Amino acid sequence: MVLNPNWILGLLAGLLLIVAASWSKTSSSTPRDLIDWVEDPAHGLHVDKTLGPYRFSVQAKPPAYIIARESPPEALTSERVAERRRQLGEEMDYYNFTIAPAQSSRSVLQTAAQQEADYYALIDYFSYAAQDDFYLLHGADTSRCLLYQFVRSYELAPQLEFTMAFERQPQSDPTFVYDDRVLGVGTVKTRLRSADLLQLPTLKTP
Amino acid sequence: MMTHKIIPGLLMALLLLVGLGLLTLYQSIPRTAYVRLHRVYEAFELKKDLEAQLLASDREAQFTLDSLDVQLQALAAALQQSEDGPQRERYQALQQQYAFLHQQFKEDQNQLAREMDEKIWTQLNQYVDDYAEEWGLDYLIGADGSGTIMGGRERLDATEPIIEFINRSYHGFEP
Repeated sequence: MVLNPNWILGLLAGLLLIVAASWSKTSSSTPRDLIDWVEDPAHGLHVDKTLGPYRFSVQAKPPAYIIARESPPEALTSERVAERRRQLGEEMDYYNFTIAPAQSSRSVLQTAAQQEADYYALIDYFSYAAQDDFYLLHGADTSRCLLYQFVRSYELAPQLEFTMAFERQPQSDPTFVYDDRVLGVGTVKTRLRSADLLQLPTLKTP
Repeated sequence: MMTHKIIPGLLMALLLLVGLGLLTLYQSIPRTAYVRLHRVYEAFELKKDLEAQLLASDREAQFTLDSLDVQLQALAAALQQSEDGPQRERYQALQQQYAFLHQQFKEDQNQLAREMDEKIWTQLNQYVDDYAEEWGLDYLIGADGSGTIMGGRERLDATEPIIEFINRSYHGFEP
């Protein structure tokens, strides 16, 4: 049997297409896989930094990640995803920020507060004034913190958690800055990758 | 004939043993470096940023005091021309205010300088520790200029690499 050269070429072309498709940006993931991908420090959207007795963690939250986290997989229809993307908009970048004890079991507030009055002053600072101490640096440009919430756990967890949103500066790796005034660690800078510049997996919908 | 086969094998095994022994010996030698702390402190960019803030705060305080001083001098000159009771009272009140603010600003600046130092050393100690861990150093000795380390080989001087490392770490880059 003599093989037709055209068949061989066609087969090779088909193989190449399959390989190219598997490397393409539009590879899709289940919600759990997407969440794991975004939370993996190797991809540059999650950074940890330890300074003294505290560990600071920054988690960038692309829209697909937010949608994957907030909805059960069966509720993730194309229409639902599109609607949430529309609600999240294009004007802001979302982040979670965590301050945790680096080694001890004492909570951050117990470590930082010398007296009871300090404890309540810290709660007050983190609830309101701290918003002005967060910003993103994109080269020489600064993005203000537009939305801010200190997620209080009332000492059920040792760490402090914050969720926030900044003015959007696309196509640029940001430096997340926290200008600390109360923990004695100075300015905390962490550099992340821009989700726009990464080959983020797309969310698979049923 | 058997000897011809055994001897190369024995030699290889001996070579392997010697190699492993040398490797173990090498790994047991403590890796040491020293760092000129004063130089690192001065070159640390957080220190420069905080110093700039401290200077700005100092200038603002000085501006307030200078404004009060101008008012005091004007009042003093007016009182020299003619003694006026209410003006004298105002002068004394302003003098007290100046003294109070001067003391207050001095205490505030001292407090700011202490806080600045705490922030710098918290970050500096962390980054230097990270450097020692990353480079597998068993001892990283701080040379603080007091004469404790009287001399050292230049190849053990880790000052410049540490300065680069701590400034990259401060700005959030992978060191």
